[in-house]
Amino acid sequence: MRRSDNGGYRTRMTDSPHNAKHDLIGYHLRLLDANEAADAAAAVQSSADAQTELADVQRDLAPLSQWTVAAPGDDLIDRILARTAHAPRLIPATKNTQPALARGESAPRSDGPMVSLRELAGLAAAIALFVGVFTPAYSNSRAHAQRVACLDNFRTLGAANAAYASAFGGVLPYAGATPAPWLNHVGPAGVQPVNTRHVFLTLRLGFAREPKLFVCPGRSGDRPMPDEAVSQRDDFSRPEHYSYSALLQEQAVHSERCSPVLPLMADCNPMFDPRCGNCGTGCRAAPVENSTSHGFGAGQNVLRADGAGVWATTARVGPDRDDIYRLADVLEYTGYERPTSNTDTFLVP
Amino acid sequence: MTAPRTNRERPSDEELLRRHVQGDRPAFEELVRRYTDELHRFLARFLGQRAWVEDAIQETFLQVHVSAATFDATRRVKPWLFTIAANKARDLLRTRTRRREVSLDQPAGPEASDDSGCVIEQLAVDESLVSEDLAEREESERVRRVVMSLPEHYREVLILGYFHQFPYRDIAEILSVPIGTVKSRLHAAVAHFATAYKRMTAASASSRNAAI
Repeated sequence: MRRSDNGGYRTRMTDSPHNAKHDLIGYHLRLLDANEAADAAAAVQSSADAQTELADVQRDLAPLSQWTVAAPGDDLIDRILARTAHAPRLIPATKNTQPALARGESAPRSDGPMVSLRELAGLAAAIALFVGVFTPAYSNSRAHAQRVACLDNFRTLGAANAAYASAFGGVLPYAGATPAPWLNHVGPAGVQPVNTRHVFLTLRLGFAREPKLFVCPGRSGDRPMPDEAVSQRDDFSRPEHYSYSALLQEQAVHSERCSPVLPLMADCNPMFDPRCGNCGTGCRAAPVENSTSHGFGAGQNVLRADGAGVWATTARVGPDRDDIYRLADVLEYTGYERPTSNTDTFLVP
Repeated sequence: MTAPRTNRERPSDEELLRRHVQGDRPAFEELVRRYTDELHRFLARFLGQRAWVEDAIQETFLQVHVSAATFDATRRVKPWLFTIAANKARDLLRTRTRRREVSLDQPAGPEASDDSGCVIEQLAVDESLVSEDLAEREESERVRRVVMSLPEHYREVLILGYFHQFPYRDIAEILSVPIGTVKSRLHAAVAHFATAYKRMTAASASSRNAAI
């Protein structure tokens, strides 16, 4: 191939008499293997063009011979040997380290374990930092999402209550006076909550369409009641099918005559929450004021009579700032305690 | 690959490395003495800074010392040494030029004259690395400037091919690239060098004529 000038880039390949290309730079610098070199030599011998090309190569490369560099200092070898004298000794080869080490890309700094204690400590610190930073953030965002989903349940149940009241002359779901004891009530199926019958009506009659509306996403052990069981029961069949607490009713509540802010439902009452470990034959005041469904005592979602769902960081959200989880002046509960006034709201499981 | 030959007077590189792995310190010292000059010349041309060169060559032998046990016995030691040296040199170029946080193509300073060159040229200048004779020194400096202006991957293949005359297959092994890539890079490097050298020579001649 004749020399071409392509923006300063010139290939240095020439054609032999048999039209094979030869690398004249490689030939001149003796970089070719024996066969390639023999072919190139033959081409140069027989072709004037190849000889011209080779002369060009020699001329172009000639200035490089002028580039000289000084010899290393006399003590360089001594310094190299001194530096390596106390360096860590050899390490055993492994499948993982060999290729990289062979390319000189990294040098292990120990002849013992492949990871030094310092590196291990650094790695542990980095992991701890990662966990410390991201785990709380993840946990917080997850808890927040559960709280919002729980509040959505209440808003849906508020609409269900309104539909029920509209169908039954303004009366909120009411299944008859709550029997005593409302705590640790022993029925045909054993100990079971009985204050849940009122809210179950909305599910049984189809105003609330899904059993999962009664399960708080923040309570990991709870699960929805099976759909097929709803039509066969008058109440929730198992405690884990119902996560909340509802107003303890001795008589029907008319939606238009009660306070619009009257709490009808809320997250589980901490007084009777097995999580608090304070619920036996008699329950004493729980150590926390708020529900533990969304963080320990952080607050609770509350469904009001007007259908609104709100997040409250205090349990005193009843009429006249009454504590919705406790009766006035009562510290210990056996299941026979009742509200003493219309403003003494009391939400129980 | 045939086993490397050894003899009593001059053991092969591979034999020295094998003995070093077994704890023979003099064998490692012999390897250092055998290759310090050649690696120094390679790194001096590739890096241009004496301090960098000495750092790179020490790092190279330190790497050899530490990881000799990982050496693939089917390979030859010399290309392996140059592979390590080239990697160390590239690492140095990247880390040290990055630390300066200036563009290597920018003028050396606000008061820089036209012939003071750009930063990378000044970085590369080291009086102790060039010959003492003035004429030779000028020519050497001109060649050095042209070579240093080449892209890194052209510069290394030109140095390995021209000054160290490694066969293509060894250069390919050192740089971990196919032989065809080595050839194309070398041809491009020679073409770039020839063009840039002619341009620089013409510029020098015209400036001399203008001075006269």
